Amino acid sequence: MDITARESYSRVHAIVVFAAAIAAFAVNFFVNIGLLQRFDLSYFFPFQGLSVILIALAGAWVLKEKLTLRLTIGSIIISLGVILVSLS
Amino acid sequence: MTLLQRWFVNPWVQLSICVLLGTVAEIFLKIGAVQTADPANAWSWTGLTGLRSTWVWWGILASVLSLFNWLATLRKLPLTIAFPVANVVHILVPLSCWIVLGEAILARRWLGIALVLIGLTIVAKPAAKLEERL
Repeated sequence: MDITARESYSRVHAIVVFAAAIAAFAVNFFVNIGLLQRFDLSYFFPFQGLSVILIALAGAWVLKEKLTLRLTIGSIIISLGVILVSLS
Repeated sequence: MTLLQRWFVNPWVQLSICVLLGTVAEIFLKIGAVQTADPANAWSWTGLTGLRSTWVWWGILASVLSLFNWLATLRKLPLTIAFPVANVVHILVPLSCWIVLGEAILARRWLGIALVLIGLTIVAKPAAKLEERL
């Protein structure tokens, strides 16, 4: 009884997380198109590099991975690059 | 297996196709977005109005195909290698913006793109490891 309760919880949990991921992806995709109507692609595309920084932060938060020096320096350089692009 | 088949399942070939299709997808989406651009319409922020354009639909197709190629490369190559190489798309997209779309890209923007690329190369290995674990 206890084991089946745990099993069904994790399946619902997995479906919810999966659906949320798909919904987030759909929102990202369409807002992407909306933004492309207003900005140059070469202006807009470098911002995708920021997603790598978010992955690093998510890893630090969810998986308790440590933020190595390499990650922080690289993230700072990416951010500087994005700032430069946004100023051009 | 014929030579052509063996060439096609090579993960580096798959990666190149994935990167090219990804670039083409972005260009198509941009063209489609510009065609359906309507700043006056509040709904256009959601991008849903972009679905009216055939360019956008071809862009969606190219993205999906690019995803399949990405999955094919990940079958043979580790993510810590595939992900840094895939970042070449950050050079290909601005280049094709300049060549195909005729956007004027100033030196400052190229410098920013170069910095983003350098930063991505630095974090590529740890980020790929994280992505695998996540």
